[in-house]
Amino acid sequence: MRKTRNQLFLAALLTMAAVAVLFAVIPMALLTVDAITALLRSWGVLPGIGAVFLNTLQVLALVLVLTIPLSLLVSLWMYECVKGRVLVRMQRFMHGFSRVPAVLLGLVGHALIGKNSALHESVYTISAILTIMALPFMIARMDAALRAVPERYLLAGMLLGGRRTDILCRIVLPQAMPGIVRGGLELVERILCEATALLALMGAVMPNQVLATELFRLAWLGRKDAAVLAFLLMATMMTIRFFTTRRWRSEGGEQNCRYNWW
Amino acid sequence: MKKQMRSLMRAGIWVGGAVGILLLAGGISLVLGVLLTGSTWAGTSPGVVWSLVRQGMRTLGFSVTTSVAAVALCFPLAWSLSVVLCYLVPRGRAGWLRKAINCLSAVPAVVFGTMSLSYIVPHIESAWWAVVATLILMSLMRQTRALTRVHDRYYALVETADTLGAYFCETVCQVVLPQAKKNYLAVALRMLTRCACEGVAILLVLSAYGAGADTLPTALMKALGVTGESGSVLWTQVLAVLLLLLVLVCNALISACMQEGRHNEKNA
Repeated sequence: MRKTRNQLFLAALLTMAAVAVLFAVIPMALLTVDAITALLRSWGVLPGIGAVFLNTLQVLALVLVLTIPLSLLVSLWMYECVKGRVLVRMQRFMHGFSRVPAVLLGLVGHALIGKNSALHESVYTISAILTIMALPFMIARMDAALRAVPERYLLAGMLLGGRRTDILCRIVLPQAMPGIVRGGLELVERILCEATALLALMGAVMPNQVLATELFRLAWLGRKDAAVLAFLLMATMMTIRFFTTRRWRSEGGEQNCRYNWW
Repeated sequence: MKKQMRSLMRAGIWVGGAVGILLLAGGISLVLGVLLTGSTWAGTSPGVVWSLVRQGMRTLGFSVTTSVAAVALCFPLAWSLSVVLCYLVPRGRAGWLRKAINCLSAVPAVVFGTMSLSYIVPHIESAWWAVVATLILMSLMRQTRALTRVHDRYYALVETADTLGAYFCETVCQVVLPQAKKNYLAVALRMLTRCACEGVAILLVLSAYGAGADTLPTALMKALGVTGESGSVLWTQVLAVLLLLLVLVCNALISACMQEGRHNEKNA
């Protein structure tokens, strides 16, 4: 009883602290974006880049919110409930489907939406197409992360009397977390780089979309400030990749496996 | 309470899995339905379809030849860099080089397209060579990264051969190459698929040349009206089918090359 009360108190405290940090950080981030945009505008460089940047963040947030929970549930279902040949075939299907060219997915989106240009430009349509593209990739990554947890950890948990869901929540998921986080960062990379599917979806080069399509538009028009945006995009992707390939502490192995479920 | 939470979790996992699989299956059925609906094919003569297919095959030929040439030219460079990084540079010092290669392989394709448009296209007259050069630029670091992962598996073999007195070239050619040849093929085929399906970067490069030179993805994007002109729905469908066939063939070849091939299904 006391332990539960303590845990609830900690959870409430952490939630309030997170909300406070978000309230402080988000306006600062928006102010930074506005300041950089105003500075660039005064130099005549990349007009409208602030709107593009916010669109990109919006699309990124939507895709992450849609993709990660769904892919986690599907990969947990595959881990728990699917065995044998069906599992192998599903894994191969996920790997194969994640290699379908982005232009085909953009074509399907374009065909489904028809001539409605408002839908073509809508952030929700873009997010839906990117989610469909990202789901098989993310499911394959999470499945690999869950299966990378050594079998002996599960056996030890079962021998100590743990139930299946306890072992899943307290042993498998924490051990698989570095792989899942790495998959999430790779997903962020894919979303930020994706231009082909969005151009095929929109059926035209429109202004003020996401960073990758805006860079394509500037380069297509022969604008010199395309180089600035290309450099910024390149630096962002290299920074994200640097964090993706970091050796996470939990990969130290057995010393980090905690049997604290009782 | 705990028992109910556990049941809820298991139910949630089942529901989530079922919803995800249904969404994917429904999406695939919709894709096939959109591609194969009869309304756009009604009243079309076989001659028109055949001429579109022939035009599509020419575009497919341009895609495949440029991709094969790019992979063939890029592979030796990436292989050499990867061998030097894995087996020649001391492990402690190779760390920052590996990080640099990892970071460079994250650069988006649209940035490579912009770089090619500015720095490569002005010096090359032929559209074919410009596309090959762009694909090489795009694939070099990615191939190096993939080959580094392959070569890391055989580090112990190289050390053992070195200890037994073999020269470095003997070690690489007679120990590593026979073990890794299937993996090399898988890496090359993955790069080939990636090059054949690249759209944005090649579209930027081909914008500097006249009409006629197109890869499958760029022809598809032009048919959808990305560059202002648009093609017929029939032409779009022919291109989509050809691109899908190309990807399926490449995926089948990759599956056949990789160690987790069909024969392992019986052991699953």
